Amino acid sequence: MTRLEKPALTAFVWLALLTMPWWMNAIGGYTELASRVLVLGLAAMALNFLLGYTGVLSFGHAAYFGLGAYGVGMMIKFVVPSTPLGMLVGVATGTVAAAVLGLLIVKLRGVYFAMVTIAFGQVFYFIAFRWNSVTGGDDGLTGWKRQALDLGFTQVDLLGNDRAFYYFLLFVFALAVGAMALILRSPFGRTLVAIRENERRARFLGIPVERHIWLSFVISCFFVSLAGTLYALLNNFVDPRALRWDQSGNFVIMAVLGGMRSFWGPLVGAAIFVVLQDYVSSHTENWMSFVGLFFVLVVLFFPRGVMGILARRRATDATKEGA
Amino acid sequence: MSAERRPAGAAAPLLHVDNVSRHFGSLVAVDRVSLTIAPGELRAIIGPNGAGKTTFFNLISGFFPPTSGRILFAGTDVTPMPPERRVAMGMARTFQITEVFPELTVRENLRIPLEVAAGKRLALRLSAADDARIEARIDELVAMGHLEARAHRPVNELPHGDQRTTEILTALALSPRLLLLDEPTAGMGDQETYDITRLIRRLHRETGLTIALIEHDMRVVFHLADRIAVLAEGALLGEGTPEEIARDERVQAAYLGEEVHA
Repeated sequence: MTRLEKPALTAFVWLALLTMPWWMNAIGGYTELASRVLVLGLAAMALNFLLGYTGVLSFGHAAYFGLGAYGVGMMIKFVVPSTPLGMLVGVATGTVAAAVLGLLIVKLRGVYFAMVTIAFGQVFYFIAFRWNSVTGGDDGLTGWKRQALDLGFTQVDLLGNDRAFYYFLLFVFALAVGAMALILRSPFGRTLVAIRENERRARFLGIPVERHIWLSFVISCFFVSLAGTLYALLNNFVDPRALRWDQSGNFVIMAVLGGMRSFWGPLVGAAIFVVLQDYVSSHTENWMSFVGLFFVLVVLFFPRGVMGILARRRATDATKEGA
Repeated sequence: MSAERRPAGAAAPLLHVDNVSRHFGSLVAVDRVSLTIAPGELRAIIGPNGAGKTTFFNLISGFFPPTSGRILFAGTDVTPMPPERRVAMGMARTFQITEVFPELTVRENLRIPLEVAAGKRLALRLSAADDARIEARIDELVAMGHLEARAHRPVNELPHGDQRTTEILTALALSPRLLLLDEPTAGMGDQETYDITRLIRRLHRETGLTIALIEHDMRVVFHLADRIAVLAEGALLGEGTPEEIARDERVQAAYLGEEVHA
């Protein structure tokens, strides 16, 4: 618990992420695909902060993902053409919404919590869908683009240079993931794991469980809003599907697929999801059936996800060495 | 109500349960029970199955509120307080069915309450000094439970007796003023029962910790308790020293299920 992952694995993940634009091209992908892995991976890791480390299932995280996305898009389109300012507004919008709605749902547990998070998520979806004049409705929010990043001494062209944008995403991803790891390794992070492990024991050891679940929910939604702003910047476009319930479901699938008990699991799940989607959807429209089949197989045979398989192999190896 | 009234001793009671009832629909699980526990006392609560003992503990610890009556802890009315506030005031408990953090190691199970008790539940980091203090306390607690050899293993891999010991240690990690133990020896073999009994007695004798425990094993009860309270059908049937309780005909009758004409 004091260490989230083995240092060797963490080093390997960072090395893979730093070199992804190269090897992604080598295996038939493209830089934008690498960027999608990073953005959706961040969203899945943010969801897993709540799901895997607090033990609370939200099926409505797309709402805050979408609010972040619309926030940055509308800020750049209507107010001021600045990427960082747009992101700030997007993240603030998603986080404030989560803080308010979170107060209404922290008393709920299990499937009731999940259902109410879906319901709130769908409210935002219908607002984005109906409010044509502002959000562009079903056609989505168009007519804006991510802006070059002004660092004072130089400008980074995020729009024209795919690789520059990828490393901008990786920089934000690293800050976010570093912050999540810091929180999870802290005494506060341990209270969240305590709640996941045994809510009753946690409460009777003096942890105000509802308040801590609320904090975890808000932190998780902060990071998923951040992922949403990056998603909008990546596409130069937002549409209501970004905050629909099936997007929330995709985050859950990524987290479970990769392994909820592993810090990097959801990133691995997102990578599999994104690559599978890209590859299969170029052959058939029914790509989701393949992802679904893969998901069912993993859940049935490897309930701890892909990272769980690896952990188990390590464990058996260790036993063999010991024998 | 046949509770014998005792004049309050020199010390103010640590726990004062004042005419408390709890109804579940038409079922009266706890029926107008009054009880005081003095500081430093080791009190056993016994009674046949379904007597309302665990419900009584749940009322004291704030698991749910009483239907009527008041609970005073260290002179403060805690009746409306949620469990975590009672914990902050120094009340810790264990459960009839072991409640631990199953996938965490013994040491991690102990670290969490120690950090909470140190007021660090929202902290993002610990100073090196705080961390060293907590590590030292973990070492002490692990030694107290004789779990040194297994302290780095997840609790769900340990035998039942060690899991129950771990749960008691997590409660002790809070440095409570009152420890409530709900059937600490439930499901244990003879050796484990002996070890736990010794641990409880040591805590009581050496640190003067006030303990209330529910227990079915009469050997344990008569070995440990300063005073015994007997619950039957939700009501307090009698209270007294082990010798008094052993002689009490109504208590024997309640256990044997005979008709009593009080």
